[in-house]
Amino acid sequence: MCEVCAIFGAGEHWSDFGRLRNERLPFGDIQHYRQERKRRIAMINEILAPIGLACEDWDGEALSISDAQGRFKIAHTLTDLWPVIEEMSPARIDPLGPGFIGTGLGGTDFGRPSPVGTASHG
Amino acid sequence: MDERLPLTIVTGFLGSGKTTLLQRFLRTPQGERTAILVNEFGEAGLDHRLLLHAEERLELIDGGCMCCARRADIARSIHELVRRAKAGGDGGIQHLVIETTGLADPAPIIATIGRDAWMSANVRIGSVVAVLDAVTGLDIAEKHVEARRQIAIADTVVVSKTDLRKAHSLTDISRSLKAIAPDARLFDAQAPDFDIGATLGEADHFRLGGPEEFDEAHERHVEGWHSFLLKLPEQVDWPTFTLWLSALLHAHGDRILRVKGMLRTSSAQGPVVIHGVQHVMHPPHHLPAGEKLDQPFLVFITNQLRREAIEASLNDFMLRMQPFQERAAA
Repeated sequence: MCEVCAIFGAGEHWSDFGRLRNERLPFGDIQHYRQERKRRIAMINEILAPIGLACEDWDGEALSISDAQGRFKIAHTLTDLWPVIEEMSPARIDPLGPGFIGTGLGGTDFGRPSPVGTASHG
Repeated sequence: MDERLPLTIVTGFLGSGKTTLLQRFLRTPQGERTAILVNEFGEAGLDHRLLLHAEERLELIDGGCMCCARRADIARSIHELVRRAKAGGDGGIQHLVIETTGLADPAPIIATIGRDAWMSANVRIGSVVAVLDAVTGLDIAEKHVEARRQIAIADTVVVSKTDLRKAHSLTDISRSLKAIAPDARLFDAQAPDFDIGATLGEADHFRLGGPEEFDEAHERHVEGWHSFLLKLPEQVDWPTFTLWLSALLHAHGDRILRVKGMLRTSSAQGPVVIHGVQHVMHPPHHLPAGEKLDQPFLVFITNQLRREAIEASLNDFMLRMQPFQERAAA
């Protein structure tokens, strides 16, 4: 939450500092954070759709992750989001893996082998 | 104005000369108002005895190792020092220095501060200084992963014992360190113009850096360690970028020793400087709108992670999330 304006949506996670906050005239900041938050959640849902999870805004303060059975968990920041997803599904979040987006996160060994270098000298 | 107490982490392998450096620092004007937090382990008896002369500025942490289970102790000690600094006691503490043990990994100390909201609000990591012995340091860094990690995480390397006959030259050391510390500032502790006060005491080097020392041709590898630069587009979409980077650090933060960069984003008018150590990213630093940035970039120092994989992942993610960016712009 933005301490200056007491409006939800401007958190204290590093990813919430995309814009240098205007402490005197925070209204532009509020709109900006709401828009970015909305887009971010849309992207998260793009990632989650193949594994049957969904993300919603939790009062502009946190992220709510839910499954088809209606169970949900709260992730306060982006850092918390990925472990929550892994708790609620068999998926392993790995942007270097083959199925981070679009093909589903579960059912594949999303370990670290293919894109990662082995012990080498370059 | 940033009112947080600046913190310098002094690290370096056993016998590298950390304590000697701190003793020199304490004799400078900057050192006079610096609280030193040391850890008792290994050489601790020596450290303790020598550093006790620092007029009650010392905070000894009892037992164990600083790098893991001790984080709560470090947090408590820093909390106490911040409280004293705010109270104006001890002659006015204006700066904190943590001296790690010779075998300690500085990353958990950074994580202790980065993950704690109160600590982040009251303490800022100004610099991580690694002390390297000019005679044995390179050999040690090659053989001991702990030493390599200390250097990789540091933004500044102070080379000690350069006056000894068997010392490697600074040029050789610089060349050898490029794979694990491509953009670290390198100082000779014996050089007449070496300013120990400024190096340890006026620290704000951790966040800032530049690509001057670095281009694709300088991608380096040693024993599975990689340091490389990724060129970024002229502007990146901040929500997309942060989503990708947070997921990358979640999955591979244990092998990403450092990530730093300077980028232009959809959110800020000026360039944004980011930096992180392993799983922890620090709040970005915003540069003025008119600040020049010819080529936005990210620098990674990794263990067993290759540039090609990270670059492909970022490009793919940016591409796939483009519809959301366009939708927002519409």
